Amino acid sequence: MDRSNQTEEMVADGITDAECVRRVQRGETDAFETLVRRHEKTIFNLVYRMLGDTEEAAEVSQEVFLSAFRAAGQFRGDSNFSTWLYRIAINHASTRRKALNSRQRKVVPIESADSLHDPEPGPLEILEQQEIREKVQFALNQLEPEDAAVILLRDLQDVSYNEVAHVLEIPVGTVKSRLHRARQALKSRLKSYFCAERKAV
Amino acid sequence: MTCAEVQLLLSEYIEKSLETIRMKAVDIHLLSCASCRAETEGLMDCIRQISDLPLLDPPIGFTQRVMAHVSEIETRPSMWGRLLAPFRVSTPIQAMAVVLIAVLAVFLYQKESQIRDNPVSPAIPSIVPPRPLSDQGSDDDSGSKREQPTASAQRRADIPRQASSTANTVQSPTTESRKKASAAAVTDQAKLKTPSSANSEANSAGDVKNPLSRRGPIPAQEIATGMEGLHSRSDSFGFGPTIGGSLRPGFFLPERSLSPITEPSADAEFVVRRREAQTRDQNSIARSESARQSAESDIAPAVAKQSLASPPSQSASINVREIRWFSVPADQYDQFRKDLASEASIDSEKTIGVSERDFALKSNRELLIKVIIVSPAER
Repeated sequence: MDRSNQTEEMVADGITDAECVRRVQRGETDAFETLVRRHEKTIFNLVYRMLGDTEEAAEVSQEVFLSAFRAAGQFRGDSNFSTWLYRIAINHASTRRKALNSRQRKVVPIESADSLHDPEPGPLEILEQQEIREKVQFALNQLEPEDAAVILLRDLQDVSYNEVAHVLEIPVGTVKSRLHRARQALKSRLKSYFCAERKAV
Repeated sequence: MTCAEVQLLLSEYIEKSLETIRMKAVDIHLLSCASCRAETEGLMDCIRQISDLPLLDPPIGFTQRVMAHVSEIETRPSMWGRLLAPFRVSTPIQAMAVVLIAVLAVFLYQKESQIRDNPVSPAIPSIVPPRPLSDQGSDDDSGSKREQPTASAQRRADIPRQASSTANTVQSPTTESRKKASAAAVTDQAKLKTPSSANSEANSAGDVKNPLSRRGPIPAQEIATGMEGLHSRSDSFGFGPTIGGSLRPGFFLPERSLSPITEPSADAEFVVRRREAQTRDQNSIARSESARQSAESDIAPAVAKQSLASPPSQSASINVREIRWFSVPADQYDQFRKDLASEASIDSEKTIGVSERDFALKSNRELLIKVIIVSPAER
């Protein structure tokens, strides 16, 4: 699984993210479309895993890109555009998650969506995987948003420690300790499930 | 290495991001420690579960929707942007300022000329000229009764009408022009025969008796205001019928004496405070009553017949209620002062010099007295 290319400065179409942002800053709105196309999947999945709801994820992802467009003038190019975008996404998703937590949490079925993109042979296995993923998503939603964010950045998006440190604006050492703590928290939540699974096996 | 130390390094161990020496040390510990092995497996499971999560495709048309909103943001400027849009076009702020100043200047110019052309405004000090009811009829009479009508006298007969128009632009004469006017008026005045009206007769008796009077009476028209034009001919001075009867006729002045700037210089000046119980109207009525009585008994009026009422002056200090002008025969000056003192308390006075008064007495000219009435409440 190599998703690291998504977090690098993209040079598809021969134009880097930084160049696209400069064009947007000059008023070339079309350049922003390139950036949306490049990053929509990454951002949508990060937000979706933080919220556990595709509809909410679609809405918040749209807000993330619109915020990025409005704030494009403030982007100085100190970091990758993706880093900047991750930060906006995590802020938006954290805010939305707190709002959702205050309401009745909506447990959404994720099977249908997952099954489309992760085709595995055998209906029984598919059902089993769906069950695990539901459990994982449920466990993720139980974590603190910042813990979920650091796990998702590092383990789902495969973002480097340095970049995670940039996104969360904390030192790399703090990223490591927070990641370890978050993984242990997730593990303890998944423990009962894995134990039951092993017994069944 | 203890289990606690190893567990802190497990995340990095799994990711193989530890230094080689530490990796080896953890390897050795895990070989001999089942619990740390279990912990490691649990963490690896956890990481795998996350990384195995499938990446979903965003909803169909996501990019298009985002770009639609982007173009909406583009075409819909902010509220401030919309407000300032017309100014941003190409009009520099300096140009706007110039236009604004020009508009203001035109406005002020028009306002000023309006005030100058039409000094009805109470803001401009004005003295409404006294004009008796009987004056209309006597206008031509007085002219025809003159023993030696001169050219200037002839012209003067028309002045009341002319003044109506000319006074629109003029409030009072300059001292210089007033003197000239006085000189002309004196000669005319001396030759003036008294009109038939009893009041007028009494009032002008002094003039007839003293043909050498150096200066004429208060040049009523001289200090006329635009108010005159607003009143009917029968009440052209704005006093109303009850007061007009006590006025003397022939209070006219050649138009050359009209001046827009100054007011007549008074021979004497009083600053008085009206007593609380008295009102202006009561005073006026009382005065005109006494004047009529004295006229009927063929005695010269004790005091000037009528004040030339003026609205509060803007240029005067705030507590000045009114300024009145009186024309008093020199020999009646003391009586006037006494009457004034009985009606109002005199705050201060600038009285006429003895020599000047003697001269006036000899020439039997009338004294011009300015009475400034101040508010009784203020001191």
